[in-house]
Amino acid sequence: MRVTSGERLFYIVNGFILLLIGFLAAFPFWNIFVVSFNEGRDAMRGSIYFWPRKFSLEAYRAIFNENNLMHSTYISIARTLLGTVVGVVCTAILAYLLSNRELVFRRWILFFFIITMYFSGGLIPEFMLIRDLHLYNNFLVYIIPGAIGVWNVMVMRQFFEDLPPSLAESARIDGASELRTLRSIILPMSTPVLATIALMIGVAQWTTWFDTYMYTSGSQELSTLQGVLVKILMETQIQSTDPTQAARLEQSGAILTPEVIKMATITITTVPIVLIYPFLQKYFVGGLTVGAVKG
Amino acid sequence: MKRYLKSAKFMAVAAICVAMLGACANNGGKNAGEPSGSSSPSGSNPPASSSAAPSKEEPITLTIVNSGGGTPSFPTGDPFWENNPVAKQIEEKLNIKLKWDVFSGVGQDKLNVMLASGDYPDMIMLSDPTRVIADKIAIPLNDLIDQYGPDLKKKYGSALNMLKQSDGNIYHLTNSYLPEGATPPGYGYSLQVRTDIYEALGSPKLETSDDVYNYLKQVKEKYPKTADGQTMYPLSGFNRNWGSPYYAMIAMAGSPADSKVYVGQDDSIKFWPKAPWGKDVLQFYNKLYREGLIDPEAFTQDYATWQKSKLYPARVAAHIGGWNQTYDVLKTYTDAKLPNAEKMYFQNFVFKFPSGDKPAVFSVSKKGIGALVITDKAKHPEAAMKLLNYLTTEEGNFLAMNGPQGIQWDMVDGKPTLVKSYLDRWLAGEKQVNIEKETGMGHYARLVGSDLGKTSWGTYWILKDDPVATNNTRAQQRDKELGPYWYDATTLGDLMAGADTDTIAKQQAVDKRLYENAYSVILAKTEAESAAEYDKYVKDLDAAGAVQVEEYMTKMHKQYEQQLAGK
Amino acid sequence: MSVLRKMKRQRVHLLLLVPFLLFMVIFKYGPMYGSLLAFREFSYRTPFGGDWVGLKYFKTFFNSPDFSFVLRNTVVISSLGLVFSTVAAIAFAIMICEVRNAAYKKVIQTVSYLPHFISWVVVAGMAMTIFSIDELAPLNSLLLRLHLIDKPINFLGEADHFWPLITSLSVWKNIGWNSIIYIAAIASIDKQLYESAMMDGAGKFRQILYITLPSIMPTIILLFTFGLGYILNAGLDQQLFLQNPMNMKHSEVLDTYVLKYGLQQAAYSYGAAVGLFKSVVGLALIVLCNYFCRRFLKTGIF
Repeated sequence: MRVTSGERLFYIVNGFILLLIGFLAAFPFWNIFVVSFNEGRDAMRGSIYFWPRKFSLEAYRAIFNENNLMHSTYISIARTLLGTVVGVVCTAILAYLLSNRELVFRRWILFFFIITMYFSGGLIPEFMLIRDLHLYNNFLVYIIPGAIGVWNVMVMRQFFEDLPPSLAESARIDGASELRTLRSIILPMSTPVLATIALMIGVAQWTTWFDTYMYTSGSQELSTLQGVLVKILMETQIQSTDPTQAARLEQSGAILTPEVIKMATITITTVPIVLIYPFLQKYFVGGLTVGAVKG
Repeated sequence: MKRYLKSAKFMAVAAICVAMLGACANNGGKNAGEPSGSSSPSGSNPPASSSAAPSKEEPITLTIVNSGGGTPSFPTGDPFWENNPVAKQIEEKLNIKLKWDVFSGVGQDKLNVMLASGDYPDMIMLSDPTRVIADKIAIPLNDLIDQYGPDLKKKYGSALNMLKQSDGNIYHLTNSYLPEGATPPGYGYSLQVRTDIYEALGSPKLETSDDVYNYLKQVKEKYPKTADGQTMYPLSGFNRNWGSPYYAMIAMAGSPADSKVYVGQDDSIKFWPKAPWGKDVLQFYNKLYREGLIDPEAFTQDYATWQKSKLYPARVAAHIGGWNQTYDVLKTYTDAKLPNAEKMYFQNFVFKFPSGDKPAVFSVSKKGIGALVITDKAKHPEAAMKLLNYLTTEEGNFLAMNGPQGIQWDMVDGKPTLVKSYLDRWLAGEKQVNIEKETGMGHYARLVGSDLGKTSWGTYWILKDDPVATNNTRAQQRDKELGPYWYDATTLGDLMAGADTDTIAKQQAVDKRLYENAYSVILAKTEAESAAEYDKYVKDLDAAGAVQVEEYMTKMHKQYEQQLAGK
Repeated sequence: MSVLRKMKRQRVHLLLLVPFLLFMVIFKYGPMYGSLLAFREFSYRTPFGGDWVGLKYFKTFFNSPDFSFVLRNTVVISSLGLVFSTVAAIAFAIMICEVRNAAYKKVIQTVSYLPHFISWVVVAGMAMTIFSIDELAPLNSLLLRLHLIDKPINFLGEADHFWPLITSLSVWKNIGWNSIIYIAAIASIDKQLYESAMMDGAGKFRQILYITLPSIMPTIILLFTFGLGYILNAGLDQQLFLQNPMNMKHSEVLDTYVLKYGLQQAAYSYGAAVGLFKSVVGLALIVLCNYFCRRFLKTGIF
């Protein structure tokens, strides 16, 4: 098919606008990356734009000096892999079950799930629950409570619903069970949404630190990479809300976290994601729709 | 193919998972349901005093959590907890060990959760003990103090009366209090001027607000730009609800530092704008602003941005605020090899307002800050009190503040002196955290310690801060200049204690307006407008309920005075 | 067909749902008793709270003189954020999907969501440097040099500029990340529809208008409705670090207000009351939105 000149203009303008957006998005991050490799005290003078002014690995050295870092990284990788697999599987099954338009009590069941997105009991009851279920100080606390995110389920359900109903119909007529239908028909056609939700869950697993902070005793066994990084950021901050105490703490030398360490923590968290994403990109290309619904 | 990959991934992950679970089941089993175990007395222990015979018996272990942060935070099980030199010395002396847990960051949340779950340790360090006392988690300490805390009693002195709750019991102890009979060193808010500019302008006297105004005008005339061609600001600043320049200025006018109030006639408490000098301070600030002597961004930029774009690029000629806010900057200037960098350190001055009261740049309280409680879960509260008592003796307090003899300091000619290698490191600006890790200093300092006052050898409690011991002329200058202007704010703390919800709500509404609306006065375009804005400012405060709050605060203030005197 | 008959026919289906319902009951509905703390004094000793105080904290909250403007700010900032972020994310998704060069597409998409990972503390610090009126600040210097303005715009120091500023920052921060779902939605559209449209002579814009947008409309409605439910959660960090006394009239939102002035002693109960208020309003909005969507757009989320 020949490309019209109108279309060519469209592509050029499109590409140009995207370039602008890309630059606006990338430059601040590049700046963070660059500052993280700068010497701490010199970074405080500001005005670093494209390249470090005084190259130094001191921020990274300070972080890697944390004696727990390697183990924490293993834990983070483990929880990301396991958590993503478990999460995607549970989400997909539930989303599929809810995508049936004929489901009895459908609206009530959906409402039942949606309420939980907006109401919560707060920190203390949730902590008590975790403790009573013996999930405190247990690796599974990273996997089980977060296995079902209602928002993810709803998104996936929407995608499943938008698939042509004739597909599921024909499978059912052929006598396939629900799970079989899900596995052989629906999933292969839904790679974009599966990849999307997998990405969302994976990133959430990789970047969350609150559960490490609250639901583990701080022991080395279960610390995650993000937990360590946030701890580094928080431990030298002024804690108190009482102004006199805060003033005393500050004047006594409990210094605020050097900027370069903040930048280094962001870099360490984000770079793995950036490196992995291109490999996932191919799943975002459409599913096997071509040819499936002919006739 | 995809299916194969998927199940391969499944198996790999399952393998990891099993390994993890194996490792964690052990850990989980150990700690299941025990967020921070209770005290574990190992073996029998003599209840008698500690300095007795070299006991080969198991030391008593007390558990403690610090929910206020501010101390090095190592993972649970890290050897630092047991092996730090201070802990070792305490174990040797008293046969008592402390098992620490430190919450950094959102410590309050974690503390709430821990207390609600019923699993809390023997001792807790926290900011506000009200709830913990009301829920009877903290035990009364009176008898323990009488029996095992003679030194503690002496050091706190009349402050112990102030720590009594309405039922006559003492439930918590504090740190950083002013010990009975002590005088604090020279700290607090000040006017800081860059020495190179100051000397070039003839080192004028800076004793009154008019002197300051004239000085800033001269700076603007003679030094409009830095060596790099950027604008130099005679005065700059940042916005913060405390520690910011205008709170420093009212401290110089007589409002006890960080208190936001002023003590008026017949001992009544009023919010500072109502002081006779309130209008003058604001109009002074307004004048500086109108004449371009203050960085226009002084009210929008935050502390970090101020440092980065104004202070560290050497664009600030003078500053009014905490002395430490410009202390560290000299090293940056020298590292950056700026011309005349060694002279670019900031000197401290205290100036007075003509209508102002005596400057009150450093507030100290006999009552102290923070709270330490012993909980009802403690099986050996006497051991806890013995430890606390020891930490209030001169030996114990000094140990907590500096670490044991032989590491950072030694006795030379009967006086504690910093070892040269450490002195050099401190002067080079090494991070305090690093030295804390090696010496154990600071870690036990905020239990019941205080660094206010002087030791019997005449030094500061924290040696590295002693201007004489470190031969630090800058610190000596600060000490001399700020020393006379400390304020005993004992009866000004916790003025809202016990207030009902309505009064507290009003106080918070007033607090918000106190901070935010002041800027309308400061940023007015003419003097007349500023005067009008000031009147509106005060009126708004009253409309939000200032009078009711002030009455309550006055009542508490007078009550505290009574308490201090022993009722 | 009667309900019981339906249930019998779908029994496998329903049985499979049971474990998930159970999961919700245990992990979500179980802890919900904590919301009751809004009506009681907080006490460490009892999980359900101490003395009953009824609506005391709600009254304190609603009666505070700052309540109305704080609420207004919250709603405005959230709404602006929701609307502009949605539009931006959709536009970006469409543009990305139209790129033909695979490598270019990958690169732009990858960098587009980098801002999502920069914490608001750092973003605020950057914003303060870029948007400041200081002579070193890039934006004002550029505008001045291009003679578009004759004196610097005080983005950070004037209340009127706060809402546009914070909305722009929100859009920038989330455009890439939010677009991922829309990209997946667009990728799921049957390519045949485009082919037949092109054969009918439809140009790019018509294709986008009549194929792309309607096809992803259910997703848009879904995300928009959920976003509406969070309208009272205008965020904490993003306002907290960019607030200053000058712009406070427009920058104080519920969460920052409660954090700073939340009745320190009774913080837990007060916070619970505010939280409950947010939840109820959020849910009510969702129900309303869903009703209107079903009525006028024929599709809702439940």
